[in-house]
Amino acid sequence: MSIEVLEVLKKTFADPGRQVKEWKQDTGGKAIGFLLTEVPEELIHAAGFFPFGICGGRARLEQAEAHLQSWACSYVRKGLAMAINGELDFLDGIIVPLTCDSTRLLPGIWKHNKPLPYMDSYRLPKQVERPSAKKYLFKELERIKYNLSAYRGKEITDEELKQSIRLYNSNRGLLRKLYNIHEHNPEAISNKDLYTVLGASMVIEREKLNRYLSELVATLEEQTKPPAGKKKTKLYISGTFINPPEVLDYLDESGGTVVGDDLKNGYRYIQDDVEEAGISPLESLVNRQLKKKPFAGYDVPSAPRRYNLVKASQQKKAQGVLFLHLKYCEPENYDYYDNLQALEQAGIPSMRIETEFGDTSLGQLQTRIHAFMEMVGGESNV
Amino acid sequence: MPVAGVDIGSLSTEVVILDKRAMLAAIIIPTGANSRLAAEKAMKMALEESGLSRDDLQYIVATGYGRVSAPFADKKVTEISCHGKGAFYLNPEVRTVIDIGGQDSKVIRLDSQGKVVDFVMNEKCAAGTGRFLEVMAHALEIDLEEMSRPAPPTVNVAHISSMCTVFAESEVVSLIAEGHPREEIIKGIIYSVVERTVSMARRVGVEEKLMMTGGVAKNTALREALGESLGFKVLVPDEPQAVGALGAALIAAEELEK
Repeated sequence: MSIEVLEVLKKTFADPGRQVKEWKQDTGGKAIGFLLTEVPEELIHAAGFFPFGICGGRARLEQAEAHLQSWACSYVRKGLAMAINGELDFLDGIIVPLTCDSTRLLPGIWKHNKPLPYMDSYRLPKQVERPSAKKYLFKELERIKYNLSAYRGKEITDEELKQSIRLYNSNRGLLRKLYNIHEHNPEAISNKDLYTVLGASMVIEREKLNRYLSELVATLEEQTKPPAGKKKTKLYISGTFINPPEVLDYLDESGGTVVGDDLKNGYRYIQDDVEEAGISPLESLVNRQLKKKPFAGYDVPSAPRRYNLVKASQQKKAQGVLFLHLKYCEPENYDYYDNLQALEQAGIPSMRIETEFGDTSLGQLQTRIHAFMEMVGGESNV
Repeated sequence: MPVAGVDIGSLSTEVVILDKRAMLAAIIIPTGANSRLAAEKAMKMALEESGLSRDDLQYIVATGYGRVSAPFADKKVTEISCHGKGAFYLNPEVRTVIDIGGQDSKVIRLDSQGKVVDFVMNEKCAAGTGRFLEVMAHALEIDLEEMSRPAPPTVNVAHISSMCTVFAESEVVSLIAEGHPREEIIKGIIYSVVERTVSMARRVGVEEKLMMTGGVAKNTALREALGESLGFKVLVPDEPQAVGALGAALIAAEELEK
């Protein structure tokens, strides 16, 4: 089955810089990059800039080695390497969310090696349940809004921000629909295609995305027949990124289907909408951030991550949990033991795989994923 | 109804033919540069040994790293499931399987039904595998036979600090240059593999009985040191290299019965 818009989105994902470069040429506009996944993109969009999600590219990790230790995670090293080798030359600015030690170091090193006209950090609160968190975050978003306004030379209005929020909510809603279609009928859209669309949604003009997604969802809803053939083995994926994308091929070919995840380039990117009515749009952005489910960057004492992990896996009837961690990701390492214990107590089998952007032994990875599928599914057709 | 299991490993390829779960043939040959050719050749030899033709085989399961490109498989199953299946068939009391092959090491935990409940596998490099031992034997100018001879307890252990095959090789060369006796260096190499394997095994938890499979199980010194370190007796089947192919053949038989 070939759906035209799906092919367009696949092409976009395969060459992430193409759309933004075309857009800049056509409009003379500016592009602001961001590291995944907490950055309030709505603010970038409201200022009329092209928000570009940085998530891996062709640059070799070695190109960042003079500036970052090899034990900084490969996501951060890859981003810097891409900046250094010119792969991100279309960017006029960047916002880095400070979620761990490596991201905290990155903006300064980036600035030193590849200064951009607009460079900012997003200092999100770690203890989101403290009463001061809301007040703090409001000021922080006000600061980013002010800086973006200053870079544009004109203040971002509430109306502009509201419009961007509406568009983003609509995109997220459509992506969740797509996820839902996959969850209930993996034949309709494969693991690989689902995450390809998610990846493409971060590097495409968001108005275009909205049209494409509407068409894609409508087509799939129309075409979708009840699931046929062999029953798939349901998996929940926890960690940082779907990386390398081949992981999804290995799941597809061994009868596995992803029913939920908490990944930066997965469900975490689309799970929370921003309230559209009532309060000021900036306050809505604050509330969205504070109600987000915890991830390795911060925890919520009243509902810790492990609790969400077990609950989500059970609700989705996942037969196993695949941890996909980036090597040297300290926050994930800290969480892992607690997560593992919680899953063991709930009787949910899991396997942990550590990968790196740009350097993963694929044959090994394939064997481990197939073996895990044989273990939890009892059956595998490679 | 004869069935076959083919295990295409990085260093060796095995074929086992079963009929009503009785072994008709077991062939072990080096894989060489072309895993497809090795699989074809081992299959031909196994058919000759069993006096069967290809058409007699009702079902073929391929395993090992070369399974993906296996020429004649009805089904492909990972070596983890196959070693688990084979080891449990040989001894239903086995709960832990340690499989160290040419380029991979794995620890597999089984339940009382022989089902795989957990496993760990080494990551990308060949540290602590058959290839590691081969490289070290080469550096010491000895054969694998000598490497496998248990040293008396009186022999000291020359400490090898790196598990990286490349670094360990240069360490061995330095130890030779420093005049350390060969037996001490061999013992050091064996201990370094054992340490790594034990720490991997502890990650999934070790339960008796423990069976060692894969080519490295033929190294007597290593399996003795492993048993000593774990505090368990290490069972080793007659042909530890063929356990994966045996498991694959057993899965083939099950598929046929479905």
